[in-house]
Amino acid sequence: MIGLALSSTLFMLAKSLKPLAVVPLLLGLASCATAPTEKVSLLEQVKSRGELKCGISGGLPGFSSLNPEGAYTGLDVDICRAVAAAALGDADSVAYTPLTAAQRFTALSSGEIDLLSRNTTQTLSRDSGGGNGLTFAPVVFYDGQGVLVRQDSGATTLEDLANQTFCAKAGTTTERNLNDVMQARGIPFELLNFNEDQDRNQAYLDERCAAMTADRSSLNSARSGFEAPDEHVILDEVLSKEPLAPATVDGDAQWGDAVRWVVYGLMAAEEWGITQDNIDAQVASATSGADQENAALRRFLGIEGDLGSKLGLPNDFVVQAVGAVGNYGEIYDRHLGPDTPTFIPRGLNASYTEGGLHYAPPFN
Amino acid sequence: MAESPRSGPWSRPLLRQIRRGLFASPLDTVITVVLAVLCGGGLWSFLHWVFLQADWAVVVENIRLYIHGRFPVEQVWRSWSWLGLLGVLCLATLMPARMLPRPVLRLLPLLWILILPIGLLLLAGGLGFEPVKSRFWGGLQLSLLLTLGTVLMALPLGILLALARRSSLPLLRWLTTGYIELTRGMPLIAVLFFGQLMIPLFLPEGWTFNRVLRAVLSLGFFVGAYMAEDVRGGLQSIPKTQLEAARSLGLSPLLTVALVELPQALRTALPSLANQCVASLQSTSLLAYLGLIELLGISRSILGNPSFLGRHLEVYIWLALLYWAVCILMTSLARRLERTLKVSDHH
Amino acid sequence: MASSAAPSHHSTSGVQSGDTLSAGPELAVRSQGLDKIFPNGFQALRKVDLAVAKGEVVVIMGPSGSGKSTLIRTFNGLETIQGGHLEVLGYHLDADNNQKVVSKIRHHVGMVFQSFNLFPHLSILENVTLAPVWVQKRDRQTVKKDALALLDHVGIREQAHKYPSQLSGGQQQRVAIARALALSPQLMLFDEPTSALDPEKVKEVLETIRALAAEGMTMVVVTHEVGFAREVADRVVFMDEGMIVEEASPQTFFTDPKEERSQLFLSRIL
Ligand SMILES: Nc1ncnc2c1ncn2[C@@H]1O[C@H](COP(=O)(O)OP(=O)(O)OP(=O)(O)O)[C@@H](O)[C@H]1O
Ligand SMILES: N[C@@H](CCC(=O)N[C@@H](CS)C(=O)NCC(=O)O)C(=O)O
Ligand SMILES: [Mg+2]
Repeated sequence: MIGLALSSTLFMLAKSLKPLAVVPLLLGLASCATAPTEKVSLLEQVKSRGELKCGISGGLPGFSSLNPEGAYTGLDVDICRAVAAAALGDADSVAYTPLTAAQRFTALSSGEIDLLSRNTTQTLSRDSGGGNGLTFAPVVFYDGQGVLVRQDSGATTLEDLANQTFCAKAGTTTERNLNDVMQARGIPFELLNFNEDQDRNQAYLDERCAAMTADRSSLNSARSGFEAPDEHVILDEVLSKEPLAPATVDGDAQWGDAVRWVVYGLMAAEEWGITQDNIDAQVASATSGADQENAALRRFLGIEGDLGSKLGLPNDFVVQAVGAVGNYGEIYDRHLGPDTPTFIPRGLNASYTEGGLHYAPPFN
Repeated sequence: MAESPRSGPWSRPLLRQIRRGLFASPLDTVITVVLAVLCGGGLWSFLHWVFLQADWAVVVENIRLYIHGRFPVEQVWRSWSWLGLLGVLCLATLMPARMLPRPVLRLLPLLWILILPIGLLLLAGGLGFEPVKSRFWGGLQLSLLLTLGTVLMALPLGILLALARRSSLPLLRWLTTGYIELTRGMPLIAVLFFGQLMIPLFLPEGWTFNRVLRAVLSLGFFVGAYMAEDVRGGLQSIPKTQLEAARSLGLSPLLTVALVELPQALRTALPSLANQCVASLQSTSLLAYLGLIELLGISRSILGNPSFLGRHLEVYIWLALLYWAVCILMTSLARRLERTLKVSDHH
Repeated sequence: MASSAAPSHHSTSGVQSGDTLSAGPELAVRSQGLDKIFPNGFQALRKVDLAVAKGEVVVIMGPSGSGKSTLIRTFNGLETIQGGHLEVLGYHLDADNNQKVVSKIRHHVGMVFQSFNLFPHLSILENVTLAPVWVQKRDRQTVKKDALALLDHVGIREQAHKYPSQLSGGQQQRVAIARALALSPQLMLFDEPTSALDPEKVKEVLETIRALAAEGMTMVVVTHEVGFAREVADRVVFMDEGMIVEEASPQTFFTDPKEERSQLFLSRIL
């Protein structure tokens, strides 16, 4: 996409010109009551506003898309809903802003959104103050670059694809990752680049290339759109790490912490076996039932202690979040589980207890 | 005897013309046959796909989204009302003038200007209507609103720029010339990126301003520069003697511009201005790449729905149809206006 | 229309250029040593002295490029002057035309062009009412009534709601005259009003102008219509190369021109 190159240039230009931004600031400050120094945490702003402004992709199968009723759904969307439920007690109090990759960081730093929940890969430069200056919440989806081939090709490893043509999207890290891996392993190959997902998919379907490479999540939804999805397989090979995580602005620790622990809460709930269906029973049991001696569970559910208040959230924020969207496993299954057209085996996205990477620190 | 030259629609002159045009030589015949087979085959497989293979559920089930975007269901009547009003206005404009009562005919231009504030009131709410945030606007409704807003901003801007460009004040002239040339030298997508990405960055922290407004402003400033050139062309086509006539009647420079020059210039520029309007509609689709859920943007979000994976072709054909219909409507409105004004033109 | 020979209201032969500066209000135009130099350096008028009395009809003749148009265009400020002295209806015009003075003059001076210059986007009636409504800020209804009366006067009332392009050249020129008259001018300037017309249309326009003269309108007419000049003009001014070469009554000018250049010119057009 031309836009991408253009926007990154513009973005850089804007960043270098950022000092100039003080001019309107100085001009406008006279009428602006809140001094920028004593900044109110976004958490407080969200609570007093009564609405969470969440940036999403808006068009990524399984992560965020519109259903015919006009509601956004998907894994990224459910993260927004969980945070809104935890902070406001209402998962529906979310204002969604569809964002393109180019816009997402500006939207965050300009305050257009409070929370970025848009398939964003966590990297050093995005995290650091010298880069995009984000604060990342825990990874909600471990993605990675994968390779899709026709089943009848019999290919199972990259080596099987020596001297073959790969279709990829131009101007993405995808292209570089493929080069790096193939070069390291000494496998010769050809590359065909496309500007649009659809063109790339079509070229692959027209057999102009033997394999197609992209993030596994998008390979998966591309395959689901094919006429005969079963005739294509995603290789087990993973060419890159793409840990996708929600993000907030740097310098607002309170808000960053709140978001982080809401996400951990969803994962811990899965570890505890607490689901949307059984949460009321669990709360009852921990309050005055079989579990009333289970201090850890009582703390987790906010019946005992003040874990939530420490974050600036209600003590029962986990109950609110899980009650609204379910635990992490439920969210995953709802959007990417075996019963969905966008099925992706849990793999790295399973809880550590199941051999995956999701691991919530203790709620102490 | 039966072969009289005018014996029905397939009279001999017609046949002869076909023969001369398409089958004049063996080579012509071959080309004709090949093209016919190609076109016919293409059409046949397209129709086969449309009626037998395509799955139009992605269009049918999401029809509300395509038209009103995420507008709240219980308020959708407001969106319908506006679209309906717009439709009635189009019809009234397209109807033969004599079928309309005179007062209505006179009000039409005013109504065309008012339709934007009316739309804003109906869509945004206020004055007794429940407020609806602009992020719930979308689909055709938003595309039309963006187009209308752009045109209603760009046209006056274009006129002012065109007038300023031939002003006697050198500074004003340089500034406008610079602005027009600079804007015309930039790709629209860059201007839109500037509007959507840079403006919020330059604004003081915590200040945001409406995305739709941002989009209309960027589009309006851009299209305005093009319209300025069209209007300037129109101004230049007015003979100098017209100005002398106006001046010798004692008309002030301002009145000369308003009563003599602009009406004629706009008339001359009308076809190209109409082109700009159609181009504006098509340009609004670029905003899909900037996160607005107008027609193209909402389609992107619908295509993200796992239930409709891979239904791109259906959606894009449907979109093409919608855009085409609106464009046809716009061009016929423009042609109608041209015809109304033509009465007074030189033959 | 009345086609009676133009009456001579004044004994205008007495008004000569180079009168004293204290010329009374009976003069409509008075120019002394008028110079017109175009920005490209071309001098179109050289020391032109001319006086037009109120009620007088002056016909200007001369070869193409002699400065006839330029001269009468200075009278309503369409051309600035670079030297000399010019007074129109009591207002002074000088090198840097004062916009206020110019617009005052234009309120009282009507002009008719060779190419009619009607406004094509306005109906005949609107062409006539435009200036009274917008410049004189008069009431629309009375203006309209007056305009229709004027159009009646020039014989095209039936066409009032048509557009210029739907009229013949002669009709258009008559509308142009009505348009100029709508401001009730004290002076009318005509720049070859019949040159762009088919021969058979010339008569109807001249007829209109003649009637106007009969009503006592002060007029300066650039024309090559000898018959018209003979009948209507009080005085003929002959110009060449930006200068007035000869001034005489039509009778004298056409039968007994004094200057060689006049004789040459007349031998060509007669
Ligand atoms: N704007 C101008 N710039 C320079 N020269 C001009 C301009 N207008 C007229 N002239 C010149 O001034 C001279 C007088 O022009 P003018 O139009 O007054 O002549 P005219 O006597 O009316 O001739 P015609 O009978 O052809 O109308 C001509 O030589 C013409 O070329
Ligand atoms: N994980 C990637 C996501 C990259 C991404 O968003 N890609 C763009 C295209 S290059 C996109 O729009 N993807 C589809 C979508 O999110 O709608 C990142 O953080 O950079
Ligand atoms: Mg002339």
